[in-house]
Amino acid sequence: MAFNVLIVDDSSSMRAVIKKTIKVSGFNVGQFLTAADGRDALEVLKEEWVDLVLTDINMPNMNGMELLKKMKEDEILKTIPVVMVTTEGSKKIIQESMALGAYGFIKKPFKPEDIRNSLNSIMGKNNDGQEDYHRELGGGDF
Amino acid sequence: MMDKKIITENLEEAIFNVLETMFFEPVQIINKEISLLNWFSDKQPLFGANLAFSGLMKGSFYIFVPYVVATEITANFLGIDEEEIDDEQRMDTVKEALNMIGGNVFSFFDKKGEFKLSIPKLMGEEENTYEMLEKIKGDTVFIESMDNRLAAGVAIET
Repeated sequence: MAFNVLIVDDSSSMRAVIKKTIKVSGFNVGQFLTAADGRDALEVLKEEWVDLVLTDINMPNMNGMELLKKMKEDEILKTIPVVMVTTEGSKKIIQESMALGAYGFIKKPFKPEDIRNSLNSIMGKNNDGQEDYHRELGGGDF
Repeated sequence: MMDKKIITENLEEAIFNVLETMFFEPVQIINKEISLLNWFSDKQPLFGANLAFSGLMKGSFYIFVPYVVATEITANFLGIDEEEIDDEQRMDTVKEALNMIGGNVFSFFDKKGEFKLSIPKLMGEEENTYEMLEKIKGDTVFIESMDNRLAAGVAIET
């Protein structure tokens, strides 16, 4: 079953790179949605069904930590797994985002396999991209 | 008191990490006493970006990338042909490269998250980039790519 991914980053190039990496990894994505900051992302989340959010942290208007916090305060949105994809690599930031409920953390610069492995762990796939089982997270069927 | 050398020393490794991992651009650092103006003496079109940071020290990272190199790294980054690239993508890629370099520098030593990065900005879109080169006061790393050159650096406020 296809799943919908929301990619949040103020860099349009980075959004395109993440999208491409997911695509070529063979994941069954129904819809790629994008947002340039946390505020835009919340608007998208109001309108569209999203199964997974990949978000940068350092963004204008609303950063990724605030987005994560807002999502975790919302009864529906809190069930969506959120992976932080960011240049912010300090232990403190990682701990803070995990404490807020982030599912995972990918540090930029990343290799395609970093994205692949993270999605595999969320979707219950093995590392060569072959689907071996579906895992339900947050009401979304993967 | 933190020594500013910790930032400059980690800058070279961050440049390698980012340019080679994300942009597939093999580079080498050139240790040379030279001004930015002389480094880019061929006056080819340049993109410049800066990224302010604050925390235990205050300052900014900067990068200068010739148009040709910006096209090349953008094509590598996005995985598309150079002919398909537009200026918006070039500028966005240069800013993102600097963003990753800055973040990577701090990730080597800032375990407590005491530094905060701002949002990368293009330098002087309206003015001649070569005039900006004269204004830069910082520690610059001179970089050679396969067939071109670029530069990145850090200016720390005292």
